[in-house]
Amino acid sequence: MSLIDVRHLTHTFYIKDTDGNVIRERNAVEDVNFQAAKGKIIAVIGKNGSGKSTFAKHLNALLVPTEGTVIIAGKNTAEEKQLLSVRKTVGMIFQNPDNQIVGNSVAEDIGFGLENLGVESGQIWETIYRTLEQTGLSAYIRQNPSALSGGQKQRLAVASVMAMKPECIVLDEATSMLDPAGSRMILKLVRDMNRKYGMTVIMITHHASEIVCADYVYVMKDGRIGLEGSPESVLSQTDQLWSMGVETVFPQRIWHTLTKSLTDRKLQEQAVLSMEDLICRLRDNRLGDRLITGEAAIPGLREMPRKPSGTEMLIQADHLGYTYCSGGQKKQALTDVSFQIRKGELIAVAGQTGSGKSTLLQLLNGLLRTNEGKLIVNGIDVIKEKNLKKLRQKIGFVFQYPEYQLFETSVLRDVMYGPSNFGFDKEQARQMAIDALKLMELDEEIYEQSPLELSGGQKKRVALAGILAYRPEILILDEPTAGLDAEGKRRLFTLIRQLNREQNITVIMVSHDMNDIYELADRLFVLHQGRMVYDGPPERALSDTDFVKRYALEMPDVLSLKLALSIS
Amino acid sequence: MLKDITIGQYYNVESVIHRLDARTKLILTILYAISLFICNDIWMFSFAALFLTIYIILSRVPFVHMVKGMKMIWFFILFTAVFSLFGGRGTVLWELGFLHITDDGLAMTGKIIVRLSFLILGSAVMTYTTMPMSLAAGLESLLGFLKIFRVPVAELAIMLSIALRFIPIFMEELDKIMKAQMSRGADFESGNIFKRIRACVPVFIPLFASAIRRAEELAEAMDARCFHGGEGRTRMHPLQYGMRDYVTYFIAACYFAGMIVYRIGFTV
Repeated sequence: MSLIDVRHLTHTFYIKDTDGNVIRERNAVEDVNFQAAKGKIIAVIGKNGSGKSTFAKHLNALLVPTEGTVIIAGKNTAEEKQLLSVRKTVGMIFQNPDNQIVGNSVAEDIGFGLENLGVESGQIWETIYRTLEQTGLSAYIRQNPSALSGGQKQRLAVASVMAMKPECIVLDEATSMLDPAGSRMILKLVRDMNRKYGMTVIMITHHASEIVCADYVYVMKDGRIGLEGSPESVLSQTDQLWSMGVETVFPQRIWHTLTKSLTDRKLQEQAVLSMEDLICRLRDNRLGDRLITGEAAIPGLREMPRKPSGTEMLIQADHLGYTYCSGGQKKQALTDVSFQIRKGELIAVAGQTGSGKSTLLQLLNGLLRTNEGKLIVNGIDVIKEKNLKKLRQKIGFVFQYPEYQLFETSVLRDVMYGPSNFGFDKEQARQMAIDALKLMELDEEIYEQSPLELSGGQKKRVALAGILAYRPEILILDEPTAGLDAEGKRRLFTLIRQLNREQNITVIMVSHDMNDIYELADRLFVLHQGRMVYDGPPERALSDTDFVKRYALEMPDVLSLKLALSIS
Repeated sequence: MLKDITIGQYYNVESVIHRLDARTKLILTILYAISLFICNDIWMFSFAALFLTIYIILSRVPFVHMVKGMKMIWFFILFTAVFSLFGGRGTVLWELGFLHITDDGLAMTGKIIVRLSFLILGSAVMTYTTMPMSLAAGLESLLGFLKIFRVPVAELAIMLSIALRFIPIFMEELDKIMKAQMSRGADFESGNIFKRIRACVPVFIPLFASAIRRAEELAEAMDARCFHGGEGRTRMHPLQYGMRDYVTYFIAACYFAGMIVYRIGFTV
């Protein structure tokens, strides 16, 4: 019998007006059937807004079905008296690590759930020590969670749930706010828990690469299960997945492109989920040559087309440094960084967390002030200049999760905020806002809506419009793809490329994803412990195995393939 | 920087003060606070200072760390002091228009500064040396009698502990939102007071929205981990008095009695 048995689950959200009358209803989940056997890894994949999180909340009785049933280890979640027992059986890990940690120290957070279960205090500590050991967190027992990295925080969240000895653990997009190293760590941890302790794992995600290891996969679209089966059978359906807003794994994408025009349908439908498999097949089938030339050629395998840099000097940094004080100690966040950027360049900045990337970006528009070195941006001496407004108008700074900075009563007014601050009169500001909203492909009907009521994707686009509205010449983006699904990412990349190629806007973006960098950037900066260790074309640094390893980066998939096939 | 505010955060070292029961520290802090308000001459203040010094040294929390963590509060104290400086009666020492500083006013200001700083340092030692969960448990136990009036003491204690956990998160978020709005041309530093207050709207609304979002998510995460109020919960830090607690109570009682006897017998 399966541990989790979901039959014909429908969940309806009712949108009510101020008097409590239902004005609209929407099925976030519709007629879903789902089973999870004990000890298995089951994945649910879908794009943002497909209903997968609403579904996940049913597994822990955070939500109860509008129609249908959810049975967890024989218990119906709709019965009030089963609530604690259901929640004890199924543990949940959520997306945002900060918003699920309750304790003020690592030990306290693990203790929280055990206290709720009424475990004796002596036994609580025994369990804490054992869990810390199992999850490799022993060294942090008394640390304040705020001092942990994102990946470690999420590890703590897993530990805290594990300590309660659930039979099943649900990860609701648990890796989407982490850097690649953090995500890998969490996925490995969960797989270990599955292998060593037979923990049933339900993974909710929008990354195809995370579901390869699953035993069974469900694909959600518009609240329904659109496709299900083994990872092989699901991920090999490249086109159908894409129509559901999911991008299949890299080897399969390559295989799909190669075999698309072949008459042999069977070949096309084969699952190619690992890079090794792909390489083997390419050798066997002599398809390798098709990769490089002809209509099936993979962009970037031989050479990525790069934009030649302009002549007009825009940013000049000489021996730039930044020192800050923390707990009475001076720390050097940035040391002796020099570079020049010409107008119209598209630059990516890579480096581990804490390597000084954010510091560098914030120095550029004077959000952080320093007196070490020299910095000229667009003719303004940033270090000496007192009034930075003129500089800031030239620089659009897109922080991570820009949607969290919306505040106005209407979308239009929010987008007008920037232009008004920079001294444009109301009519001008309005026109600039409308132009930016149009550029972001936002419908006129939302102009008067509150930005806080929009969907996640719309919010992000409104926030971007709010920055593009004052027509910056330099666009700085900090982790712009964080939390975006495959579609959202494609759309953002198209926009960035369009702004850069057509309007000659200089772009500087920080990213953890080397695939993104290789695809998009013409030039790469690598920072390591506050120093600039590389400045040049992305392919040179990223195809160098030693370099990539030394600075804890990752080789882009295309370059790995190129290396494996030894294409020069 | 806002991120440097550490008040209310546990400071992770081993010391005899760290090992005291949370209730002992709470009562000690209350007694100390009362003693500060009966201080009225230089000897009593010196005695209170000596007591505080020993307390801080025993806690092994670096003094510099404590002082730096309270920047905002020092500003508040200064602000209060300035008000009282011009409010006293007695011999006028200095005058400018309607502003005048008197000897009384000066003495009062001195007392206010010393009292408030001692009070804050004293209670800071408590928060630096006690895990918030223990502190919450201590409060819950001391205020337990309120339960008969249906005051949800246990839930309030957990709320307090969670509030402390989220202080650094909100500080960081405030910093980030301010920077983001500054990039969009916001100006928090110029203009008159009304302009400045208005300039804060684009910061506080997102901060508020984020607080609500975080609260919702946290509530779900707590539910998912079987939180169902104070009933049936156990404690990972059971409250337990040891020898060192009794010794501390004895010392605190001696100190407090000494202060009262001196106040009644030797001062006017």
